[in-house]
Amino acid sequence: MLASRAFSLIGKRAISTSICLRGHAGVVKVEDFSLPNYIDRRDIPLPQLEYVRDLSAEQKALKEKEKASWSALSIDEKVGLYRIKFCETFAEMNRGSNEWKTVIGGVLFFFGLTAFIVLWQRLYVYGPVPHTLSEEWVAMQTKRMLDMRVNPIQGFSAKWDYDKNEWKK
Amino acid sequence: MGDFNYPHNDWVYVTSGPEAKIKFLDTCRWLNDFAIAVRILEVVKDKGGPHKEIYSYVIQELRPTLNEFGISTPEALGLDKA
Repeated sequence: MLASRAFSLIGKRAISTSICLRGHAGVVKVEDFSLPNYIDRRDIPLPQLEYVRDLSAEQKALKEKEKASWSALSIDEKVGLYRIKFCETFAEMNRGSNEWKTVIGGVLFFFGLTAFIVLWQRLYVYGPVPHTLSEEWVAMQTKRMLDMRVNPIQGFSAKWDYDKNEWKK
Repeated sequence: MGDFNYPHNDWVYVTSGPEAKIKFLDTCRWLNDFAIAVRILEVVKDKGGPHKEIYSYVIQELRPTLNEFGISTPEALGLDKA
């Protein structure tokens, strides 16, 4: 108690920094996502961890051999050293996949399925069309439009031959 | 920030020329880490992108150093095929 009072005369900062230096051990639990992790990425070629965490006996022996000259290592040992440190090579991690075929196929399949659904809907859900779209009505309507001289210069009535009473060829 | 003597912080050198890469390979040897030397050669090839001649030029320049340390290229190890 007295000591802490004496320290407070020097400055409260001294005590708080010593707590920080000890780390928050016992105060804060270390979350798993805050620890370094391994990942194979083109833009992070050297991850913070080795891939294999627990080395077997041969792997440990290989690591010892690594400390000597590298020319003495065989091809298999070199590949073994690489595989200890990394999961996939650049060629493996960059390889393409055939997923696009599945995607395009699925999309087209659902287009077709939708077509069936729309067709069923047209036949069984919608009621009859208005009577003004029937053939006789459209004929009467067209006659009326021609009598009214609708768009006589370049449009509708311009295509009708009034002398011969038929559409112009 | 960070200690630039360690390869994973020495990243700035990887994208410069072959002379800097020789220094990098020295660092790998000093750290007794063979795998990252191979990894860096893979990265050089990857960074070259469509220009394959960049990688072959770098390997050609580095050949003496590679032979001296016994570093194999990824092709020699068969690691360039998926």
